[in-house]
Amino acid sequence: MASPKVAVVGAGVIGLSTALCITETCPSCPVTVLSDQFSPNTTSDVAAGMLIPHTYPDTPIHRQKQWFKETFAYLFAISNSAEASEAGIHLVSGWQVFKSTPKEELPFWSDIVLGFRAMSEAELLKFPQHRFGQAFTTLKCDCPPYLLWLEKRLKATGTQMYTRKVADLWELHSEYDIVVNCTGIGAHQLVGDKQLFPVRGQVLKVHAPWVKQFIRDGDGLTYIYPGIDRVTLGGTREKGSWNLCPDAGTTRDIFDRCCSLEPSLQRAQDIEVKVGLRPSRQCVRVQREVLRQGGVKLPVIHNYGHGAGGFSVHRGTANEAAYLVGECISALQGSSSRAKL
Amino acid sequence: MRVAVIGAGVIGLSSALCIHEQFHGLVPSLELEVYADRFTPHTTSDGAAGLWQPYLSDHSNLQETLWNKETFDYLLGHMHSPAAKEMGLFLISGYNLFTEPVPDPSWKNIVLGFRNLTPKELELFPGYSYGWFNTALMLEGRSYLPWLTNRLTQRGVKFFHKKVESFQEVSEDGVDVVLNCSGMRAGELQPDPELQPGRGQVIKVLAPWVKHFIITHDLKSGIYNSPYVIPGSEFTVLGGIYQHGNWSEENSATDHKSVWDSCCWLLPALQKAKIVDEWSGLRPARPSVRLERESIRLGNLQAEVIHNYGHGGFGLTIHWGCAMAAARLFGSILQEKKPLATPPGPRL
Repeated sequence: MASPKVAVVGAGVIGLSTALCITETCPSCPVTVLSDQFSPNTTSDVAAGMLIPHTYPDTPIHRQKQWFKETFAYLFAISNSAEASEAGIHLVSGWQVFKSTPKEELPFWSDIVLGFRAMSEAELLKFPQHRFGQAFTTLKCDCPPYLLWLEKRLKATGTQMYTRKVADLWELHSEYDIVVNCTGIGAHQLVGDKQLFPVRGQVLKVHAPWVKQFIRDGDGLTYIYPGIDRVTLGGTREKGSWNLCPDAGTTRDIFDRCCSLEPSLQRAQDIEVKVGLRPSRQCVRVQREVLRQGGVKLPVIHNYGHGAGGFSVHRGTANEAAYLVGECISALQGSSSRAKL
Repeated sequence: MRVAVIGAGVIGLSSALCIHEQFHGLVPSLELEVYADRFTPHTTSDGAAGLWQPYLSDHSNLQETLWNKETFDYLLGHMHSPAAKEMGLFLISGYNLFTEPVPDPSWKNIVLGFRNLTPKELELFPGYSYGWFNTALMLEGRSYLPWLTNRLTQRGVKFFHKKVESFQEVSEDGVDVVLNCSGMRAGELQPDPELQPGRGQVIKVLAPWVKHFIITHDLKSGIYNSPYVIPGSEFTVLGGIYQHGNWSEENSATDHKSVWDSCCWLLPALQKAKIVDEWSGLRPARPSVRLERESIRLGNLQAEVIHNYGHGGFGLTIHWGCAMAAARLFGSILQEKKPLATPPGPRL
C-alpha cells in the first residue's frame, strides 16, 4: 500500500506536537491536521504553558516522569537555540510556596527541573502566610508563539492543516487510513468518553513586565507566571463546569489572591480575562483502538485527557502516540502484504 | 542652615533624601539644594542597567561590603511597598559564569538563595565550567531617580540646573555644608588622581523572553569586560565593556560589535532582538569610595565638605549605605556647630 494517510484531529499543543512527531518518525506518511479551532482559539492558548507537572492519579509515576523528562529535554534544547524567541520558549525561575508542609517534600520531577532546592528562611520572609517553599528554574511555552512555531514546522514538512469540525471519527475513514484523536475536551463528545471531564480555569493575562519570577501556591490554585509579553495570573479549578464565559467576581478574586503573593501586581495594566476547560482524566489516554463498522476497520490512536498538565508532558505523549502510529502502519503494511499473497 | 548637594545621580539624590529625612525635624532652618548640570535621564545612573551586584572581590574593604548589605536590605524592605514599581525596584534571579572555580563572593549571604550552578545548568552556557545562581534586585535608575526627585520636591528641596565650578562658589553664596556627589567629574572640583573613568558601552534591546541576568567573567580581562545580559522592565541591556582611563562618551563601533557578537554567542536568540538604543557612560572608578569629611579653607571662610563619590560600577548597589554614612557625617558637623545645645543624635 502507498504510505498510509494520517489525520490528526485537534490543533492544540497535543495535536500539533503529535502531528510533528509523526512526521519525524514516519517521514513518508502524509499527515493532515483537522481542527475546528487553531491558535489563538485553543485551550492551549489560555494556559500559561509552565513546565510544572500535574500528577495523574492512575498513570504510573515512572511513565509521567518519562513524559516530563522528554518534554523538558526537547524544550530545553529549543530554549538554548536561536529559535527560542520565535518558538516562545524561555527559562523562568521562581518559587512554589506552601501554607503547610506538603506530604511529599520532593515531587517526582524535582530532579528534572533545574536547581531544585528548598527555599531559605530569608526567601520565605517575602511570604508571611507560607511556611515552606521550593525554588527552581523551569521552562515556559508561551502561546500563541509556540503553537504558531509548531504550525510553521509542520507546514515545512508538507503537512496540510484545515479548519474542519469533525463530528464523528468515521467521517474520516474514506480519506484517511489512520486517525489520531487529540481533541482534548472535545473527546467527551467525539468519542463519548465519560471519564473525561472539564475543569474550568479562569486566568488573567496582564502587562507587568517587571515581574520576572514565577510564584505558585502549592495548592495549585494561585499562581503568577511571567511570559514573554504578559504575566498569567491564576486561577480556578472548577470541576465539571463547561462555562467558557469569564466571571467578574472570579476576576476580582484571582487578582486579589495574586496581589497578596506579589503586591506590585496592583500596578498591572491591560487586564485580559480568559477561560479554558482543562480536559481532565484520571489518566492520560494514549492508546490504540480499532474502530469497526461493517467490515471496515479504522485504526485510531488516542492522545487526550492531559488536564492541567498538557504542556508539561506534551512531547512525551506525542512521542508515544507517534510510536503507536508507527505500530499501526506496520500492522497495515503487514496485513496489506499478506493480502497480496 | 543651607546644604548644597552637587550632583543629581543616584548618590546625590539619595544622600539628599537621607539627610532631609533624618534632620529636617531637628534643624528647622535646614534648606537643601541640589545643583547639577545633568539630571535624569541624562546621568550615569540612568544608563546603568540597575542590577544590584557588587564586584566579585571587596579587596578586604569591609566598609563597602557593609554599605552594600545595608542597601540591599533597605531595598528588600521596600519590595512589598506600593512604591516598588514606581521606584523601578523588582526581584530578579540569574547567573554569574566563570571558566574556572572561584571563591564565593563577599555578598553571597546578602543576596537570596545563593548557590553554585548544577552541571545541567552549565550546559546552557558552553565555554563556562563554573558559576553561581542567586536572586538579587533590580533598581532601574530611570525610575528610581525620578522617584527620589519627587520625594525631594515634596519635601521642599530645591533643584538648580547649574554646573558648580568650585566649592568656593557655593561657599561664598552662603552654603554651610557641601555634599560632593559629583561622580565622574569630582576631579574638576578638587583634583583626585585616584578617580579614573571606567568607560562602558551598552546596547539596549527588546528581548522580553529573557527573564534572568547573565554576567560572565573573564578573570584576566577584569570586571565587566566580559559579556553580560540584564533584563529590565522595558528592555534588556547587553554589555561587557570596561575601559580604564577612556573618557569618551561616544559610542564606538568596535565596542558595539564586541558586545553584540559576544552576547549573541552567549544567548543565540538575541540575534532576533531589536536594538532600540545604545549608550556609553563613565563609571567613576576609584580604588575605594571616597566618603569622608573635609574642612576646606576658602579665603575667610571655612567650608564643610562631605565627599561621596567614586562608586565605580556599583553606585546603585551601594548607594543607600553611603547615603546613611554621609548623613552620619552631616550629624557630626551639626554637633560641632552647636557645642552648647547638642542636638540628640540622628535617628538611625
